[in-house]
Amino acid sequence: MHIAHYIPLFPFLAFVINIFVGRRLKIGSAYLAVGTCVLSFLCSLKVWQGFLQGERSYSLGTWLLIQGKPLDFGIIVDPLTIMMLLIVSFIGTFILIYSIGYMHDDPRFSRYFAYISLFMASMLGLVLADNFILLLIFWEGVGLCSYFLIAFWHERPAAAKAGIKAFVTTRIGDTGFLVGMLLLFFTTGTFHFSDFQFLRGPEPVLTLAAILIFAGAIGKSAQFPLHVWLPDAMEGPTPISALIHAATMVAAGVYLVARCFPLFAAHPAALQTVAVIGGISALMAATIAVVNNDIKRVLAYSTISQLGLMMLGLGVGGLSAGTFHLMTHAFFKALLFLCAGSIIHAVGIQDIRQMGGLFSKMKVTSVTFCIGALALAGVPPFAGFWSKDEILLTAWNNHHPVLFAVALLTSLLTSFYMARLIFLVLFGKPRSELHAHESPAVMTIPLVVLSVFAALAGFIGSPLKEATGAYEGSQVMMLASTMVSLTGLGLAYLIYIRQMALPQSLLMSCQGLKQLLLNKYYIDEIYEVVLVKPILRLCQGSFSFDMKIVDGLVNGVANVTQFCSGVLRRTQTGLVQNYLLVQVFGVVLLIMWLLKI
Amino acid sequence: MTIQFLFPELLLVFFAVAVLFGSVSNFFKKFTPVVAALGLLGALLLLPAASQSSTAVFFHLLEADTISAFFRTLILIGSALIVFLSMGEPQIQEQDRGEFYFFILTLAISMMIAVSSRNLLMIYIALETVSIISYILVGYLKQDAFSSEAGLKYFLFGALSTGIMLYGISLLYGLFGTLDLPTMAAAVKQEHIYFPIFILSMVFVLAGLAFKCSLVPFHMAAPDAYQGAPTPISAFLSIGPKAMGFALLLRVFLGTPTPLIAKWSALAQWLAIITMTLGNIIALKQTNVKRLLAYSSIAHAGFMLMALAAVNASGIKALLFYLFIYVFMNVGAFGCVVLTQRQEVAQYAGLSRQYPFAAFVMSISLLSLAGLPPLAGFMAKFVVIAAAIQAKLYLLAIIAVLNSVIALFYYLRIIKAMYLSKTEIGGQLNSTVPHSRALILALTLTLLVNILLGLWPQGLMPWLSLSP
Repeated sequence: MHIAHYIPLFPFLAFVINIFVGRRLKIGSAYLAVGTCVLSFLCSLKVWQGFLQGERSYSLGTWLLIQGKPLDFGIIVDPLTIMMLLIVSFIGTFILIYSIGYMHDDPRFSRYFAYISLFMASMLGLVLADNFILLLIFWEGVGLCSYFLIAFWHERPAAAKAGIKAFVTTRIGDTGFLVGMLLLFFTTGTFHFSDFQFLRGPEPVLTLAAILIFAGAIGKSAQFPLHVWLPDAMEGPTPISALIHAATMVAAGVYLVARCFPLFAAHPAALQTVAVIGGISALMAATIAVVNNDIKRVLAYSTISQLGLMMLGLGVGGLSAGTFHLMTHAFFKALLFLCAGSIIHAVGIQDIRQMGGLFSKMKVTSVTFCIGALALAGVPPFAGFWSKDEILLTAWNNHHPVLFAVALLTSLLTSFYMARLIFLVLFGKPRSELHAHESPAVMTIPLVVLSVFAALAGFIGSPLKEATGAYEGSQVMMLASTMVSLTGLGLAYLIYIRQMALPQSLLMSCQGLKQLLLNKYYIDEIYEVVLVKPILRLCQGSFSFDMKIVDGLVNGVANVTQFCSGVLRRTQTGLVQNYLLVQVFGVVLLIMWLLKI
Repeated sequence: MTIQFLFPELLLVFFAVAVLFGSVSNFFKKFTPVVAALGLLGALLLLPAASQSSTAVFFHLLEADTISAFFRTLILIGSALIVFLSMGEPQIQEQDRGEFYFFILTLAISMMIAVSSRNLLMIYIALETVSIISYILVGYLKQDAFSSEAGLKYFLFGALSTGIMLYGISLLYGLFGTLDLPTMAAAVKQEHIYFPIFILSMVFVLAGLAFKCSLVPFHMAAPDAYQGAPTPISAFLSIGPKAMGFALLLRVFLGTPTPLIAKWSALAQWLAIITMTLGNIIALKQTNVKRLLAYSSIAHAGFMLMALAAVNASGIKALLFYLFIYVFMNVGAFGCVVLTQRQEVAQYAGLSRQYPFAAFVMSISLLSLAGLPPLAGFMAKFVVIAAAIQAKLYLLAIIAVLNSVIALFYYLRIIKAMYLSKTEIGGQLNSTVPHSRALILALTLTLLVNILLGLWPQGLMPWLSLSP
């Protein structure tokens, strides 16, 4: 076994131990989860070192033979995987530490750490897999864990519903993924990512396969039109939101597209689909975030929007830009969610209209929250600026003016709603009775560490820059994107701090638009009427068909079988003379049959 | 060096004699199971070296090929598991005058010789030794009326079977003038023999072997024997003689040339259908777990025969794979009966809350027997059905799948009782027996194999890549 194989194994071990004896370990279950996560991180570093010395991929041995070709327990090691491994295990570790404080008096404390360990194991396995089948197993594992964790407080109906919604919605995408994967296999005969450079096959089929695979990414990464589960997923514990949004679940979709990039790049129509879906999601979610009043939901929509930007970046041909943004986003989004969790933990409400003036009461949380917000808004020199700039530049250089405009507009909106969030929550006067206090050190230390990375990660540059060629910054572009970010900040300042009359009256005048946005473009309602209700009716119909006709048949068959059993059972009389008779008759019958007498 | 081939058997003889002598003193008697287990382990270690030679040995009585190597390994592993099971069975602890483990070892030796035989006389002698020892072991609990009755029934039924088989063998000798299987196969090719008599005598031989494999209609004694015998012996009968029977079916029937192969295939196909269907259907209504497992083992024999009906290389590979996994799943299920000392399905109610480990091992073994993924039993059924489909035996494959559905019902009945039933039937877990740790070890082993081989079947496959 190579050291890379241990990476998912450690958290999995923590899962097994915690699920069976976690209750007895009490706080130890959390230490176990954190410890295994740290071990995974150290192994990831070791793999990185091995990679620098020229090691590439390893196999644990053949798992199955498919049409005579071996399918290995193989792992792939390239900059993309290493980046994901480091992000997942690093951010995961801090989210786990933070969880110790956040979940400290939950009755299912050890269960929480069991699930989250399985979540980590699945995600780490997902990024290591070198073929589709192995990836799919971990992919489903991620989906399953997201269901467990979003519905973790399943006593609350909203949480239980959100868990089901997340699971079912992503499944729709997964179905496409599975079909696409099999389509690819039947045309080209390979499941291995390493063969993607040399795929031969009919152009339309491969394009279709790529788009279907992208459907899986749409579901997992909450892109339009399957984005509806992500805002509802806020019902889960906040550290889970941080984990889902930063390192695990939604990153899987972007990772999948990046992993299959050679396939997409060879088929422009597929690539175009990725970019357009990304653009729509980015803009749509950003507009919704502008009017939303729930601190976690604003962040949730911003995630959809940022994931859209990553897809857009990948779709315009910027493999390096898209993955770079994935990396920086992981840091500042984890930070933002953990800060939000700290604030919710302190004040006990989530509505930003009732907050305000928290800056003086929660210094550490507030400063780190601001850093995260500035990074997301794309203000230099924070991390988000560099990666967003690279996406914008790639879109421009590769001649996609419309997508470029969409990305630019999205960044304007992003800086506006983040500034709005900051101003409403941290500054101004408290708008309700709040007894806020700073969170314990076990929660604030992760915030500080993550904020350092949210501030500085941009200077590392894209992890794929060596593979895709150095990126040359353009000063004009940097200036433009900075201007856009600052404009957004300024507008929010004028409206929410200075409370200027003109913009406010402007806002008042477009109530219709606001209503549309507040209702999230009525997408949930449309789905309810167009999909959910008819499907439920169909289910009712088939349920009664199943109860009456199918079950009747099945029960009939079962009854007949049971009856036969009763009859045949009597052949076993217990009398040995009968046994011998049966045997002799058996021999005679066999001979008669074989000799055709 | 042909003697090398027999080293494992010779070592076992040595240990068997040691066990017998040890039993004279009460002090040494305590160690007989450990000595027996060590002997089996030692033989297992000697086996790879012993299987090196690849020709007929001992005046062409024994064949040193891959089939014999596989089955000897399997018999040794199975016997060792049975020794562990017996160490946890209180009835045996009470009754054992020291000769019990001697019988286990001699049974292993004779089965190992049987699976290596290529001469019908040798086969007959080995088979008869196996039979006689099994009669003794089934009726081992002398105070228990059920055990004695089962022993007697098993003896009467077995005596008729071997009688028929011996008659068949004598007819074959009359036809060919030899009892060497390869020579006979070569003679059949030249078509100088009278076919009706040949087929008649082959069916007679089949009757003897089918009794060992408990194929319908030669299964009648099996349920009574399994129910009455001490539980570890029931487990032994369901794996050891069955594996041996299939090894001999492989040797005797697949050696014959092509025109006859089609006939044997049709025969095996119909016997498989009858065996699996009858075994499963009767199992549905059973209330005694050992009897239920007896019928389930009859049904599994049908599945194994199905692999033989697909007379091709993948069929043989599937048979070996199936047998290997079958040993572990069946020992797991019987081992839980030993551990809990509960024979009725109703007694299993609420076991999961009383003894979670026993309930878990039982469930995994039963689910594996039922063929649910991702357990090993699923892979076993999968390769067998795949082999049948490859041989274009579609009817057989469909019936096999339907049978898996039926089987699921009665396995789940036990699991339902263990996990879902609210009532709890009292009763102590059998932990008073001094060597119950060996039993736990055996159960853990079966658990691991059932889970790991299901996830990674390829781990076993290269080992089975052999040609008949």
